[in-house]
Amino acid sequence: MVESLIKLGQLAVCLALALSLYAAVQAVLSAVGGAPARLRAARNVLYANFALVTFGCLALIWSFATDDFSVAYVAQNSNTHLPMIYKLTAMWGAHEGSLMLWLWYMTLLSAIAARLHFNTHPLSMPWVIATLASVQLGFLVFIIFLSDPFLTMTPALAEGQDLNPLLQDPGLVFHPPVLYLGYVGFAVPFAFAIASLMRSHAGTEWIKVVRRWALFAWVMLTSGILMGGFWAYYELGWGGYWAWDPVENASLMPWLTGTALLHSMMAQDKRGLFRTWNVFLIVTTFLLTLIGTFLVRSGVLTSVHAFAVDPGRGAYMLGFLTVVMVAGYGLILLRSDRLSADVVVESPWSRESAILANNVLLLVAAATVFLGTLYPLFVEAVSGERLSVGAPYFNKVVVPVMLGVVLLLGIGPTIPWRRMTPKALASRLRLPAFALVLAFAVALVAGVRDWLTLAAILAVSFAAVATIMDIATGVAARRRATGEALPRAAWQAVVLGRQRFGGLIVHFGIALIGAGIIASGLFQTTVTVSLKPGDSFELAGNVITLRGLEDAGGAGYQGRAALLSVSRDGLPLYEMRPEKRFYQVRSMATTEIAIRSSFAGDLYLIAGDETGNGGITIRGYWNPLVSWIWAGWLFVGGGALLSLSGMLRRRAAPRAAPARAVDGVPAE
Amino acid sequence: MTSLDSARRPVPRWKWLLGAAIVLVPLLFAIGLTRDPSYIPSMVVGHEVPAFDLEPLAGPGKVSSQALAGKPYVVNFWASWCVSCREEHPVLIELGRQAADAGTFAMVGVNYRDGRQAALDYLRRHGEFPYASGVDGRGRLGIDFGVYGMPETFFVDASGVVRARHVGPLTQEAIAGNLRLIGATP
Amino acid sequence: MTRPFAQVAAVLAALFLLAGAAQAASFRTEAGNEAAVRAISARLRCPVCQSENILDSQSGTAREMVEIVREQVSQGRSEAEIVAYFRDRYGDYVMLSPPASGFGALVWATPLLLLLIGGATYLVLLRRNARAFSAEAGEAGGRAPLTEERLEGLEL
Repeated sequence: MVESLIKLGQLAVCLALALSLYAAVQAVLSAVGGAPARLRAARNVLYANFALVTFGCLALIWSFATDDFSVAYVAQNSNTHLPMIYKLTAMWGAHEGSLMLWLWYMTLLSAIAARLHFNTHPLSMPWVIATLASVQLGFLVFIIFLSDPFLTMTPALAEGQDLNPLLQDPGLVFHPPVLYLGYVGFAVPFAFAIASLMRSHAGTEWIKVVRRWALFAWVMLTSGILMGGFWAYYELGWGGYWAWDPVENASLMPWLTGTALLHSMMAQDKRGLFRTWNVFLIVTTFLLTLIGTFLVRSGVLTSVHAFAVDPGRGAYMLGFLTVVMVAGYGLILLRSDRLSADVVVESPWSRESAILANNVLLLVAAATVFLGTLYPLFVEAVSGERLSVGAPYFNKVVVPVMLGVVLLLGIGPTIPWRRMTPKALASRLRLPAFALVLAFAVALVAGVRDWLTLAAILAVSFAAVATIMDIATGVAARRRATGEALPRAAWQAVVLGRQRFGGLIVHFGIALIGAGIIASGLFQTTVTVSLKPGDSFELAGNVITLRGLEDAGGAGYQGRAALLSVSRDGLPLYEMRPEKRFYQVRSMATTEIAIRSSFAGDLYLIAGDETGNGGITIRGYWNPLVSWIWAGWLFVGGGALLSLSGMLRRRAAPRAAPARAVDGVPAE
Repeated sequence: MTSLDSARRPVPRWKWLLGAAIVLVPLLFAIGLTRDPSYIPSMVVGHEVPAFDLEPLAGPGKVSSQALAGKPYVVNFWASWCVSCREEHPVLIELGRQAADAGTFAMVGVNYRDGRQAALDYLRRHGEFPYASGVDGRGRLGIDFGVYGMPETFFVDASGVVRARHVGPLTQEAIAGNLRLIGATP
Repeated sequence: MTRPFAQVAAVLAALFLLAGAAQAASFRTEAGNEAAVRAISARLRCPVCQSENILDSQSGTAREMVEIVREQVSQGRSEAEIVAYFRDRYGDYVMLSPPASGFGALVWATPLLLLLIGGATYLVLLRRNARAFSAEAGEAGGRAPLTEERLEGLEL
C-alpha cells in the first residue's frame, strides 16, 4: 500500500506538469484572444495543481513518517532512530525535497493569488496566470526529469543513511520553510510585472496589490535569513551568524533589492514615480531568488550550504534562469517606454529623493555582493588563476554602503513628500543629530578609534533616535489634537496609522539589528584555553571553571560533555555544558555549543579536543549585543505585520491624492 | 507613444547595460558549470621540490629528498583515513614495482597526518608498498607541497624540479603522461 | 507639548541604547600574540574545506596551519610575511581577501566604481527631474510652492 502511495504521489506531480502546460497555453490564448472561458480553465488548473502537489508532498512525508526506505530519497535522508519531528521535516533536508517545498509554495501562492485577484484585476489576470503557470512548469519539468524524490529502489534498504546531523536541529523545522516562502513570495509580484509589460496599457492599479505581496515576501525573507543566522550561531560553532558564504549571499541579494522595491513602490503608490525602477526591481528580485537556487545546487561555487553538486542539473537551471531573464529584462528593454509618467522628483530635499538614494545605495550593495561572489569564477574563466573573495572583503566594502542606508532610515520617514527646505529639515533632525554627537563622544571615551566602527555607531544611533522621535511625535500630535490620555492616544495613533507606524517600528527593529551586528562583529572577544578539572579562566568579567568531563549520548550519537560553572565576583551564577558528538551512521562529528544569552551579550563556549590527561580545550567567545539582533527581528516582524494589516484595511478606499505635508508628520 | 517617437530617440545607456547583463551573466554561469570550483592550481609545479627528511614508516634509514636527488622520482601522499586512496592502491603497488624493475625512476610515499599503527595496519590489509614511506605526522610537508585534496601525487625530474601534480586517485593515463614529463620510462 | 515629550523620549532611548553598547564594549581584553594569531588566521582560507577560514575550520590541516601562524608570530614575523609563506604554497586562493595587485585590484576597485556610478546616477537623475519640474512649473505659469503648515489636525 505504501509503495502505491508514493507512486500515486509521483503520478499527481506528473499530472500537475501536464496541467501547468495546459494552463500556460490557455492563459496566453486568453490574453491574446480574450476568451474568458480559457482563463477560467487556466485558473482552475492553478487550484488543481495546488491539490495535486500537496498530495505529492504528503505522500513523501508519509513515506518518511513510516520509515519507507523503498523510496530512495527517504533512504538517503532518514533513519529509524531519527526523532519524529525530523522525520517529518527531513523532506526539505536535501536537494530533491527542497525543490518540492519550493514547488508547493509556488502552487499555494499561485492558487491564493488567483483566488484573491481574479475578479479585481481582470486586465492583468491572463498574463499573471500565464507567468505563474510557466514558472510552475519550469520547476515541474526539473523535478520530474532531473530531481525526482519519488524514485523507489528494490530491494528496499532495511535502514536509512540518516539525516545529516547538522540538520537534526529545530532550525530545520523553521529556516527552509520560512526562507522559501520569502523567495516564492516574489513570484506573484513578478507575474504582475510581466502582465503590466505585456498588457496594452501598463496600468497602475496592480501596484497596491503587489505592495502587499512584496511586503509579505520581504518579511518572510528577512525572517528566513535571520533564522539561518540564528541556526548557524547555535549549531555550527564558530561564534558567528554570517560568513558571506556564496549561498548566504544568494539570499542577501534579493533581500537588498526587495528592500529597495518596498520603498520604491511606496513612491509609485503615493506619487506615481519610479515605474520603470519598480518593474526592474521586481524582475531582478525574482531573478535573484532563482539565481540563489541555481548556485546552491549546480556546483558552480563551493559552499557549506551546497546541496547536490551536479552540473547536469545546473545546466537545466541555468537554462530556466536564462529564459526568465530574457523574458523579464527583454520585456523591460522593449516596453519600458510605456511605463514612464509625467511625474517627477521635484526637489532633492524630499522623500522621493531619499527613496531614490535608497534605491541606488541598495542596488550598489547588491551589485557589490553579486560581483564579489562571482569574481572568483570570472577570474578563473579569464586567466585560470584562483582568487578567493571572502568575509574580510565583503565586510570592508558592503558595510559602508549599508551605513548610508541606515542613515537614510532615519531621514526618510521624517522628510515629507514633494519637498522641504534644507533649513526646515535640519531643524527637524536636530534631536537625532544631537544624539549622533553624543554617541560620538561616548564612543571616543570608550576607546573606539576605528573609523568604520565609529561611523557605524553614529549611523545606528542617529537612525534609532530619529525613528523613536518620529513615533513619539506622531503620538504626541494625536494627543494634542484629540486631548486623549497618552495610552489611548498612542493606541489610536498606531491603529489609525498602521502603515506609517508599522514602517517606523520596522525601522527601529533594523536599527536594533544594526546595533547588534556592529557590537558582536567589532567588539567580540575570544579566548582559547586548555583546562584540567579545577582550572578556570576569565572571560568578559566572568570566571569559568571546568568541573569535569562526562559521557553524553542520545538519539543516534555518542559524545563527551564538559561541565563548566560560571561565576562573577565570587558568586556562582550558572552551569554550561558544551558537547562534542559523534553520529555513528554518517560518521560525522559535531559540536554542541553552550550559550548563555543576556541583554548585554552572549557567553559562548565550544568544547574542543580532550588533552589526554583528563582535560579539554575550550574556546570561549563573548559576543556583545547578539540578543539585540533577535529582538530587532521581533520588531521588524511585528512592524511589518502591522503595516500589512494597514494595507489590507485600506483596500476599500484608495486615496485620491497624497495628504498634505504637515509639520512633523507626513501622512505616510 | 508612437513608433516614430521611439525611432527618433536614442537607446538610453541603462538599456545597453541591461542587455549586456542578459548575455554576460548566463555566459559566465555556463562557463562556471564546466569548471571544478574546488580546484586549486599547484604552486610547486615548475619549482624546486620542497626539501624533506622524514622518519620512515617502517625499517631503518630516512626518506629524504637529498637521497633521491639525481634521478626522477614520484612522491605519493597517502593515509589510512583517506577513502579515495584505496582506489589507487593497486595502481601504486604496480607503479612501485615498475620503478624497482626498470630503475629509471624512484618512488616514495608520504604518510600524511596519520597514526603509525593505523598506517601499518592499512598496508598489511591492502598490500605493502614496494617502496619506503616517510611519516609526515603533523602534515607540514603536505603544506609545503600545497596538498589540499587527498590523495595527491607529484612527479619530480632528475634535476629536482616538480614537473606535474595529480590530485585524486592515480590513473594509468596520468601516470603515462607524467612519467614522460619527468623523463622516466616505465 | 509635543516637543519636550518627543525629545525626552528620544533622549531616554538614546541613553538606553548607548548604555547597553558601552557595557557590551567594556570587555575588551586580549593577550597580544594570541590576538595576532587569531586575526591573521581569520584572513586565511582553509584549502581543504574551502568555505571556512583556518581559525574556524575543524580540519586537521587548518589547525596545523594555525600552529604555523602561531610559531611565526612568536618568531616576530609580520602578517605580510606569514601570508606570503602560505601564498608560496597554496597561491592567492589562500587569502580570503584578494591581494591588491593584478585581478585583485579589480576586485577592490569595483565597489568604489559602483558607488561612484551610483552617486553620479543619483545626481544626474535629480538634476533631470528638477529641470523637468521647473519646465513644467514654467509651463503651468508657476505653481505655488508647497508651504509647511503648522500641525492642526492629524491625518494618518
